[in-house]
Amino acid sequence: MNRTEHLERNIYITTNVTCNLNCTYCYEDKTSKDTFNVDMTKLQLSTLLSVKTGKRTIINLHGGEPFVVFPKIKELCEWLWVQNFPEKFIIFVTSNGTLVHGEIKEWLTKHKDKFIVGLSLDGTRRMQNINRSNSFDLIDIDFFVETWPKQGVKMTISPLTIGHLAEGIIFLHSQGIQDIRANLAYMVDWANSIYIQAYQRELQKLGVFYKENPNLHKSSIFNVNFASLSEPETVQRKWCGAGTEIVAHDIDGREYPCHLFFESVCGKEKSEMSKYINFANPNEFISKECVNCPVLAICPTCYGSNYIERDNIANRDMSICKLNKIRIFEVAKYEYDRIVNSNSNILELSDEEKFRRVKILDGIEKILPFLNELNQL
Amino acid sequence: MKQVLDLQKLIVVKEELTLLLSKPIASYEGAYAYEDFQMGCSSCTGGCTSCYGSCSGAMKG
Repeated sequence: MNRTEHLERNIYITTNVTCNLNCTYCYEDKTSKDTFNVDMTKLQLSTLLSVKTGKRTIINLHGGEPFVVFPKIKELCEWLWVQNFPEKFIIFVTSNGTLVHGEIKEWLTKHKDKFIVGLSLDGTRRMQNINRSNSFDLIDIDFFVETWPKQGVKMTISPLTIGHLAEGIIFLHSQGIQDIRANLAYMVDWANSIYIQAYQRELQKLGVFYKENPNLHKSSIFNVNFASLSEPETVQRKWCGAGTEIVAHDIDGREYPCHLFFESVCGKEKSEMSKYINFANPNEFISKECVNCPVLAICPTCYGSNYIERDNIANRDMSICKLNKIRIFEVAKYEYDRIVNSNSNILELSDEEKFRRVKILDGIEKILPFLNELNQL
Repeated sequence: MKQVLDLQKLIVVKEELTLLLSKPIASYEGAYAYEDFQMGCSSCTGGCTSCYGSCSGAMKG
């Protein structure tokens, strides 16, 4: 049985590796001009979608910048939509948004219920231009907000923009973006201690902002699942679906745990060796160095970048470790202040909110000595 | 140095909240606590750059 047959369907199709931008943190080797073969992809998807899984299949079209090959994407999608496959599916594209104008915009508007675009946008004009090739003015932000109002926007923070993190998130909120997926870039050098100071300062600014705007949906960078610390099994939970829920197809159609394991990203030898990794085994994705860390369950990592940089999916970037601890500390402080020092009448809270607060406090209590130690460093 | 997070205060507030629940706390388990965090595939919280939130749970369009 191949990997696809017994996993939930989250299928990545690499459409191209070319891109019209050159972002500062990009990990991809963009030298290949190859693009996906539409007929081969039709055949592959036809086989997969002919089997009903009971769950919706997500077809992720992934670049490079996928809209560089819009005619091929259009051909594939319009063919898929008239095939009447037994399996329900939806198509998702991650895009830098710079090519979404004119014909592409019209086509997306027409198909917005079955073709969703996730935009990457790194904050203010200045931040976006620093990280992403002076591209801010090429993006019609309103179009994305209006067409897919609930869809998350991806904001990547690089060493060049970390000093403006709060400003960037506040700006994205001001644009009407409801779900801001912000995180530190992987596979860049975070070792310099100036980043720790900058990160803490920016998170504190965000804390003040969210305190003043309690009804906003907090950016993922200021959203830590403390409640999960009271569930012992979460320690052994993986951070993403790589190798379990995800199947990624490269341009040649071969299967990988996620797109970071493609030859074009991690090189031929590593890419080949990745097939021997058991992603369902916690011993393979938790390192000895981290296994006893009290905040392991709330410390995100990227298994692909671990593998690329340190040859093992479990070996995390320990320079990000310090930054993650700062994040956990600042968000815990915010949550503690919001709940414990709250002036609001707890009698007026819904049962749901009371329960949520109990679970958050449960989690914070479990790591409280660790947090207070961090405060003294 | 003063502790920023006070264990005793935390426990008092937690107990107050628990007592104010209209049903035993166990009956709420699994109902609310994690829904905001299960944004992506598996237990992803959108914590990495690599998937760009393009997994099923992250997709909200």
